[in-house]
Amino acid sequence: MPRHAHHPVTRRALLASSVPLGALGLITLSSCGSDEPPLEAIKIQPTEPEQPDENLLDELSLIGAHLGAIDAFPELLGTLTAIADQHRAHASELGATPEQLDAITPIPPAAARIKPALGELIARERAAAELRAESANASTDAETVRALTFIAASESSHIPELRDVRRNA
Amino acid sequence: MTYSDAAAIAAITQAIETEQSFVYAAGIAGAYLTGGAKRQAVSQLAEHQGRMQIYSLMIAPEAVPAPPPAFEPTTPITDARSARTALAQLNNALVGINADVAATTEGEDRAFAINCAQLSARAAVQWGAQSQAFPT
Repeated sequence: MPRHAHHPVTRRALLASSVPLGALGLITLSSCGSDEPPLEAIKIQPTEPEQPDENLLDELSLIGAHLGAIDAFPELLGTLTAIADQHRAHASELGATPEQLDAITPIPPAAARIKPALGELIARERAAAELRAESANASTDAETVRALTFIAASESSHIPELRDVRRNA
Repeated sequence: MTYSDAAAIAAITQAIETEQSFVYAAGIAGAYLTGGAKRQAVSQLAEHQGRMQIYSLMIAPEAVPAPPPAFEPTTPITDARSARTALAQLNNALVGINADVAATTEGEDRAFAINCAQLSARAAVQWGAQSQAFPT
């Protein structure tokens, strides 16, 4: 769903945004007697660029983090590939395009050793689950609530799975 | 809040019925488990009884489903392995059930349902299931 409400463009706002400043006085005079608000009362809304969805960006980043951990510790390939694939499914559900998914690059872990690197992933999954839960709670669209609840649950389930991997690493 | 919307009542009723099944299953499973697993089953039994009570407060008393006279697990629970499998399956099923409640409720009730979905997905993995993108 769109994150920003569209501001209706009125004839007056369009005119005001396109005329040179020197012509403002003339336009103000020309509006006298009409039932429209005076020109100085009109706030011109700057066009906001479409903001990428915070949850989608986080999913793409999570995939990169898992790919980076696999590159650093190939022995984690099995488990982390499965989890990364789940994040791809989440990202697709949140509207990721194939181009966005193809463009993901591995994010190397900060830790040089495997257990702390897994700890980083656990912390990221926990933060992701919290963000999805908050977003689900704040959404006004029932289908979005349902999808984000599923994703929040999935990401919560990655925590014990990764802890198990860390215990045995 | 007491919901009168048909979709919310249906989702909450379904949640109560599934929680009733979970409580029965945890009781049976507990008999086959030992040590930490048994304690976990008992702890979850109490947690899910609490969920039933909270969900029961979200709808009119006459809409709250009565516990079934008997419980038939979808897969027989005959040993520790099947006990774990049954609890994992029921927990995963509860994710979607709670997602439906979240989608039809609001405020603290929705937050509660989301939290229940998260706890159930984690519990399913702890009982031996693989994580899923959309747990079922």
